[in-house]
Amino acid sequence: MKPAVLSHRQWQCLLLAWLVALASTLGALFFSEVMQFEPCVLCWYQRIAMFPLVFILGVGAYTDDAGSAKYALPLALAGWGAALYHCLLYGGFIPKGLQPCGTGLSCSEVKLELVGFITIPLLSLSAFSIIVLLLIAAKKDLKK
Amino acid sequence: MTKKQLTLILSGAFMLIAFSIGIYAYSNKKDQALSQIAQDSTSVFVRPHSPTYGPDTAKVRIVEFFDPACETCRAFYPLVKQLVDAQQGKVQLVVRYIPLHQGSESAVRILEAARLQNLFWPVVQVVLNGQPMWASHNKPAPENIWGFVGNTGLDIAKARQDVNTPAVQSVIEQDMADANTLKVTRTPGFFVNGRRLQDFGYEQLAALVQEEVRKAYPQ
Repeated sequence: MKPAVLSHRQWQCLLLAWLVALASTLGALFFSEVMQFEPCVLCWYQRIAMFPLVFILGVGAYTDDAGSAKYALPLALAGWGAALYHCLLYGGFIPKGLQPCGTGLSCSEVKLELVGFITIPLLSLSAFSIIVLLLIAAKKDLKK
Repeated sequence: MTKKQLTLILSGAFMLIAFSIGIYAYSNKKDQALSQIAQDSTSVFVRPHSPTYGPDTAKVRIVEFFDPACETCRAFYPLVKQLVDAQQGKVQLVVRYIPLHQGSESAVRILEAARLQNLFWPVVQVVLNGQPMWASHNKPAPENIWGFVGNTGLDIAKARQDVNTPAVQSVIEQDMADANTLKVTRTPGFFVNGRRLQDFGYEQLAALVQEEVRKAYPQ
């Protein structure tokens, strides 16, 4: 069976999702490699979900493959879950005793705040949310 | 190549370029901030307790994060002193402690006790000369140091009391904290007027010092 051909709108969704993933990946690398913030365990889980999205969505959009949204969505959802958990931890909604961190680095210590409330987990949660919505939009179109 | 593919490649390239510009701008800003901080008389680079060699009026300051048990620090010691001497008053050496080896913290405590008696430089000389006798990596014996410092003029009874004081402890903690802030993980760690010696080596250090001297003392 030949892969379904993408409509122009679907392709735009994929491209946008890819750009968000790429910006997030480069941003994460900037925080850790350039600003030298050491990523905590939860950050790593989000990275594990975000970094491959660049390649899956990139190849998907490049080869016009509608299937890529299907493969990318579970990763994006997993990352979204980790980011949500991290934000709740930051916000104090989850008691710190429950955090899954080792002795080294605290996941609940706020390292960076832009404009007063934008933290790294919030950026991550926003990026994953946008990607999930774009991928759902792309998949919905596919069924029509 | 289709129009879609071109769009994809161009937007990706645009992102990468923006990323590179970001890295460049950030590290530039950070380097400038560090150079600025390095001018202060008290900063992450130099503390009031830090031993110095060379005049305080020197405009170029070499900061060395130093471990008395480290062989490379021992090898660099005469070379760095020569670098300072050769520049005739334009360069000062600041020593910071970073005891990373086993047993070297005890050695640092003795150096610090010596500094309290204004004898840091003669004592560091004998501690480094005797390094093979006390700083073996598998069986360090910093207690042996007391055996060689006798003829430096050090008041050993006083020094033995000083090594365990909270004041000496806090000096070591401060230096280790500053090393951590500056991400010094290997010894010797050099900074010249706040600029890190990126590519390690004596020639490179001499070149960095020369460059800073030329900047600070334009002909």
